[in-house]
Amino acid sequence: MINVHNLSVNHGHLKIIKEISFSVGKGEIVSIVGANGAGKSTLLGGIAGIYPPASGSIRMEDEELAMKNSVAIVCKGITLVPERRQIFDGLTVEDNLILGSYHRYSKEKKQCLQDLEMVYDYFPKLATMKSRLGGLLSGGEQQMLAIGRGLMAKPKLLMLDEPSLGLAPLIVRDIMNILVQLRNETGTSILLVEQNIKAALSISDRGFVLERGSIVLEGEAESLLQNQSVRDAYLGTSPSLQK
Amino acid sequence: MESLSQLMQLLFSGLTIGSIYALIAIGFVITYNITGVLNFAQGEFAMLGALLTISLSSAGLPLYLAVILAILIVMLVGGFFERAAIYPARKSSVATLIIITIGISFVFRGAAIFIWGTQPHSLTPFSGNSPIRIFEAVLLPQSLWAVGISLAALAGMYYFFNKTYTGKAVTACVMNRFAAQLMGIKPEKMSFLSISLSAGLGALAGIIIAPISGASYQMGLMLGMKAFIAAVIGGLTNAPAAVLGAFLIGIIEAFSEGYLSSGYKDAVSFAVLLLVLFFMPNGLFSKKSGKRV
Ligand SMILES: Nc1ncnc2c1ncn2[C@@H]1O[C@H](COP(=O)(O)OP(=O)(O)OP(=O)(O)O)[C@@H](O)[C@H]1O
Ligand SMILES: [Mg+2]
Repeated sequence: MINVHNLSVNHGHLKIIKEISFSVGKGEIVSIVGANGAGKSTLLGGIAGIYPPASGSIRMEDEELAMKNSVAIVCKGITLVPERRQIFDGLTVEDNLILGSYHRYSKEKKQCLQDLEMVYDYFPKLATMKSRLGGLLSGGEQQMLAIGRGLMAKPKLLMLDEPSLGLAPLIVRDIMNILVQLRNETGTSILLVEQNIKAALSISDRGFVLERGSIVLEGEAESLLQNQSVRDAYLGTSPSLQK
Repeated sequence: MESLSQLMQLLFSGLTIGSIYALIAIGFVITYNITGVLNFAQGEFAMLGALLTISLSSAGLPLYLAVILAILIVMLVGGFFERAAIYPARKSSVATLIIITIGISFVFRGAAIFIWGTQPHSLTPFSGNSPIRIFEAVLLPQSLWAVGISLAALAGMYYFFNKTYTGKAVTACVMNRFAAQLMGIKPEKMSFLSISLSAGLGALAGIIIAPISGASYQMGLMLGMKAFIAAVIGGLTNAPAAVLGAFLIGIIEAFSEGYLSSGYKDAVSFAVLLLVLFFMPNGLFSKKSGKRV
């Protein structure tokens, strides 16, 4: 569905993402894992049109997206749920959500309002706090709001940047389950960036490991979880201690 | 009794001028929050609105049509100003942008001299000139118009930013520009919208004050400065606080004019600005500034 080929992204003169290629198929969940500063957010920002790529291509359904701005990208069906949630603190939960559909709201208002109900079905907790200000929500609730807001854009590819950041394990599991449910029910493709490798890979079909802007390892999620160097570098556990 | 009626008189004139400052100050705050630009040409929109209305109505248009048309034209001018001067320079430093807006204000004033000359013009009051007596004070109907229209416009702004979808999108853009972009909200479009909206508010202010104090090519300078002071007193990011600041400045001016001398009123306003900047640099009402625009 989306094909990234030899993509490079710079910050100033520094080459942060170095000729990366990968793809995400329809209805697939793919994880990107890697340490702090590996370039995960830069990669997602490059795809989302926040940081214009220095070179390479991003193709979706035979259309080249690499030089498009963030507004065009969201209209094409790629939505980024950014790192640290970035919700609108001073707006209500419902306003946050409804603004998520901005790029299509004037054309299909009715549909947007229906999708709002769908988001409330995925996140029943949000439905109980529609008129609360976004800034007053707990971390977990804010993350749900950020994901719900992303869903309101009706993406074909949903990209999430560290949704588990700062959340308790139980809530992380909730969120991961919802992502799986979403993929199963709507066929949305998901590109998931995580430092919580176990949580991410356990729901993913495939994954790859990013180190200093390059993919150093990739494969089926299951095999990555078993991979010794991944375990040593990121999990710090031996197989016998798991589960 | 004499002193009470004088007090009321001054209070009324303070509220009148304060409501004018409020409209322009709101424009300052909206523009600043959405584009990051301190638009020192803001006052010129008031001048353009007033002079255009005078021309249109003396060309035979009914007053209300002249007012609406003048506001629309000034909004277009504001939008053009944003596209031509602010947008291309949006990545420049704050100082550069300020200098651009000051430069543009000279352009507006020059154009006004060219079109309307240097002599002052007058606009007939919206509904006659027979004074109304309240509490021994004399109130001109135009003052009531000024306060009424300003409050209605402010209520309209509140409604727009808090209740309409587009208004919420603008607000969202102010709160988190990055996230707004991810949602497909174009900051450039919001910047265009906000500057033409501010221009329209400025025009309205100029039109309302014209029957009271006349209109001339140079009226925008002082109106703009006073509104700027009001906006700074309110902390620059908080629209309701800027409105309070505007009424405060209006009332302080009216009282210093009445009890000291009219020569002092500008000096007193600037003194208030300096005091606020020294002692409360985030604005007089900074504690209440939870919500922006
Ligand atoms: N806006 C920016 N300007 C300049 N350098 C940046 C910018 N954003 C990130 N960087 C640099 O790019 C590198 C990669 O950053 P990035 O945020 O993509 O890493 P990350 O993998 O998302 O890390 P984390 O797990 O901490 O979120 C870092 O060295 C960082 O300092
Ligand atoms: Mg990151």
